[in-house]
Amino acid sequence: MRLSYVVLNMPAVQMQQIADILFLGKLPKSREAATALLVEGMTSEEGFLRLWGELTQEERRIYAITVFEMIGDDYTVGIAKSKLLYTLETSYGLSRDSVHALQHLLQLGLLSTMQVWYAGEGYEVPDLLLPRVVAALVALMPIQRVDSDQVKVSTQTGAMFLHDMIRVISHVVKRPVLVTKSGVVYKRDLARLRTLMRSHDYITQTGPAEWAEIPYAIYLAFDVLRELQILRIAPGSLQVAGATLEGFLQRSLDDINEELFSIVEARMRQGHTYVYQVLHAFVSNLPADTWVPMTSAVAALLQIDLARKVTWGPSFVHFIEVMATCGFIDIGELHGRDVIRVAKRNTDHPLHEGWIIQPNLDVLVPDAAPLGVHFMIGQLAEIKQADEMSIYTLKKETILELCDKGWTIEDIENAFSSFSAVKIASVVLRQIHDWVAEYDRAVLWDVLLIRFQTPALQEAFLSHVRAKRAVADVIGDQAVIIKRALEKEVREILNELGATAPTDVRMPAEDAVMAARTGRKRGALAMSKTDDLALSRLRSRYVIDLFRKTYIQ
Amino acid sequence: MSAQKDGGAVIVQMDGTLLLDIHHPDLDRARSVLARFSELEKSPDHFHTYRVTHLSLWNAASAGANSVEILEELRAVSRYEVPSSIARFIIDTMDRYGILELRRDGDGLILQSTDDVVLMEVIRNKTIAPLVREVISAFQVRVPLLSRGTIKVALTKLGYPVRDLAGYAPGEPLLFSLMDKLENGERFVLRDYQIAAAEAFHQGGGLTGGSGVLTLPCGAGKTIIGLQAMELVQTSTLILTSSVTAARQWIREILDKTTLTDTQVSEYSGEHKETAPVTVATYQILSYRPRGSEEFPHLSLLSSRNWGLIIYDEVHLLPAPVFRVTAEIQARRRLGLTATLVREDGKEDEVFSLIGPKKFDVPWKELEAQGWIATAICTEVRVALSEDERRIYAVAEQREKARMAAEAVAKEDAVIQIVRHHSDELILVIGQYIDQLEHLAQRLQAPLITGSMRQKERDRLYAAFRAGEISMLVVSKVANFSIDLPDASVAIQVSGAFGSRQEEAQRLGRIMRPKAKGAYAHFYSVVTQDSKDQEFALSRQRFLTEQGYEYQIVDLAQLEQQEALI
Repeated sequence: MRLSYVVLNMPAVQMQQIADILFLGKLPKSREAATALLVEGMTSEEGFLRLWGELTQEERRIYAITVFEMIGDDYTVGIAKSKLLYTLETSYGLSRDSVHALQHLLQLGLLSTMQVWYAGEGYEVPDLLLPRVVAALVALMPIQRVDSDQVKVSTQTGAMFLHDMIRVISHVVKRPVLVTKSGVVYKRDLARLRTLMRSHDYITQTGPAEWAEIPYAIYLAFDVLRELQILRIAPGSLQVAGATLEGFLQRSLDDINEELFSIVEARMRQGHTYVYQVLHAFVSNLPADTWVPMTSAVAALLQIDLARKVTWGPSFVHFIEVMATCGFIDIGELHGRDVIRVAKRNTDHPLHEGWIIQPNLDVLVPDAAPLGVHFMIGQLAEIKQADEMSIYTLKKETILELCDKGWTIEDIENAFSSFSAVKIASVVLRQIHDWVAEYDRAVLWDVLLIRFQTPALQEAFLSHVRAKRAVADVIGDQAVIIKRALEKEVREILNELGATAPTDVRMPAEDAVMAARTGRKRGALAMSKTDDLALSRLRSRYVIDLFRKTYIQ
Repeated sequence: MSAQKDGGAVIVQMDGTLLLDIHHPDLDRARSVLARFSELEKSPDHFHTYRVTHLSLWNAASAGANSVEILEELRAVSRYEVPSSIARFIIDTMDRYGILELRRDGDGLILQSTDDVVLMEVIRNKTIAPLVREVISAFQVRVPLLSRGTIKVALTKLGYPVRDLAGYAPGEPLLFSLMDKLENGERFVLRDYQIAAAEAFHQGGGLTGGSGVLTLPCGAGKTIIGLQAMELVQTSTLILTSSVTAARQWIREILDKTTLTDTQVSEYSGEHKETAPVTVATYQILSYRPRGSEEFPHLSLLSSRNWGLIIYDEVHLLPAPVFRVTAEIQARRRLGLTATLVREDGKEDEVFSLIGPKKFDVPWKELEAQGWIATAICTEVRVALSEDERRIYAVAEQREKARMAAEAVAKEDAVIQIVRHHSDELILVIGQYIDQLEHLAQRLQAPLITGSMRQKERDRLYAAFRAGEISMLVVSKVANFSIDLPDASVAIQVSGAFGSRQEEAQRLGRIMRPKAKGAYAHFYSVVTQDSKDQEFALSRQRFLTEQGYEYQIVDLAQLEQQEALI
């Protein structure tokens, strides 16, 4: 609820009491002016601290518990009074007297009342106070340092999630991925996506709403790519913003991680949303290289027994899992309990971590390789398994697809060797040569064919001065192959010859049906012409120079 | 899970594979660490792939390793933190081995455990429950002596492999020794790894020894290790082999390298059915069943004599009926010999339970470096279909295409070219199709060995080849297994079974014996380009490079150029 609305609806006496606490003197008679003055005072750092100072230890604890227990949906975050009182009693061992503390919090404007469907009166935190409340709660969470030497690191993912996203986008660029009308990936594609991603095993929950049957990490990857505006999830299809992707692949890891950190936090707005916000702020404030038992910090804030079950427990675990999976925190183990620390970042691109091409046509890509390398290998080979050392394999189909994009054998060799950490075995090069050699032995051309009614008409067409440029080949005395791009010009010539062609270009019956069926999907991958051009660049041989400039210079 | 450490040689993947960087300075240490508890799957250049499985961990546990030390060793050589799921898997799996033990008790067996809950769980299993004769205590139950094998297989499937400490029947005593000097006057000395392998099996005659599998590459002298194991045990022995030719090789080796005489050694095959203190039989004869009968008349051989030791040569080929009988003769010492523990039917766990855990494994690269097996160079020679062949090929059915490509006429010219290239070496020309081989034999003026040739004639030709009287043999797939032709240094494969990996390994194995002059072994595959043959060749290339062999592809023209240069 908006703070101004809460204040405006307070009795005048209550407003004056808060004004007195804030040393604002006598409030103006106009309620609007008084409200504005109070809102300004309550949300200022000094003012909020004065209100906070009015609370007893017990009231602060009850306030913290209330904030932790609040549940959010798309519109509000709050908790029913009856549920809160029951929880305070059963989970935290507090008596029914807690209602007095809640009353005090209401009087100070730190809580406001609301109506919860089917549950009656409830509480929420007025919107503008939330950042102050979160900061105040974080200040109450002790940072207990532990002996780093004793900690056994159990989860340290580094850039794993980021690389997962790059593998996903590289796959989407190469092969069209269909989605449902609600914009969710099909379950039949999950196996493929799991091959591309390592992080799906790290988060136990599944995605929210329509993504409920999809592993959370997969949902998150698509959602972050969408938020980064690299991917647009349209009903039925995915579209890639080539230009944004091109820029993204050249950004620094630091820069990307900063954006990723805020995007991921914003994703966690369902369920115990304030728990996420408090924990997020706690993690943001942690000093570098310091292992802390986060559970103890929360337990100290709420003064609860660590073994006790709490409703926000799964959210706490989810937060830790997501943060660790995205590489923001590391998890360690000390004497049987978990500790966390803020993860260190690799800010440089270690190009020496290029790929390793084995003579059996497998390509090993270390996770520490630069982003561009992860993207490019997805274009050059087929992934078998994403892991600490991801394994790809060279396939004829992939190499031929590169040829389709205009890559020559030199370009392909150049791409493989530019980012290779080892000398490529001759048997591998021979194999690629053999595949490329097969490429244009027989070629299907997509051209237009004109069939003339009489040989005389064909002759007249061929002798037309402007026809020369348009003709690709002559077949017999009644058929000519012309360039598709010059269709308009050819129609003009035919007009001049008095043989106006029908507007529709005819095709065999089966083709006509197929074209009607698939025509809608053609060219749906890119979002705009600029994106289309950028995507073409990323799939062409120019990508070698692009990443060379980024990583080698 | 990827905390960067100090650049160890091993990368532990989430799926249980371990990648070993073979250019790492700490390679040797890392390799010996991995060899203790994982199986080498692929060994191409740059990174070798090992895999941690239940069986590999139980093999390690049976060899005395424990999970704590294995994990510590793995962490010491790992480049990144070992994923916690893999660490958990290693601990959980290894710690299960030995929770249960089988011991002899009078006329029966005692199945005992230090964990009463585990014992309670397993004796309620539907396979084991009917075998429990008496519950002695929460930690011990009595089971019948004859169900030893059944219980071991069932417990392995349940995930609680039992430590078999029930001992062995001594068998009929048989006193003999290995020769110091061979008939041809050469000194006969066992190599260090051969002694170590036999000792790993025997373990000083203790309860933990006496059954197990030794894994050594082709050409490493597994027969010699078998002889050494026999000498250590000094008891009547049944040797089971994969073919008559292999059986006769065993007999020849026994007579040549031990003090046993021909009256003490016999062959039990389709042709001869005699038993002696040392009897060599084939899997085929044991699993032979007359038409319409459900009985295997020759399986009784396994219990017909008081054998003290049974040797299973090429144990990965052990047929199902022999498995069943092996379950009943668990009181005999059992030695399995193989180059690979991978079975096409996936019954590795039964080999583990019924023959025994892997007791010794030596990577072939190590033996190659020491000069005990030859260094092989694999070359794919590409030939083209003639214009006429190509036209027919284009319209042929898929199945016909494979055969047409395999029998391309140009292959004959290529073979002749290669033979000329190795004119002073012993050469095997191996193929699948008899017509093609007959043609080739005629052009090369070399004898042809096929399945239809009488065994006696085959043996004569093999002997002549070994003696150097014949420098070239053209052979069909009958020569794929267990033919010992020590000085053959060139194998030319003209056609095969659609890229079968096992066939590839076995054919290559024919030339892996160390060469007298220390020369290389050459394995040529003649392949028809732009055809089905080339597709199969790709899987061959993958397989051979994964095995770590050097592989090159040349066109026939390039081969001619090379020859001209020489």
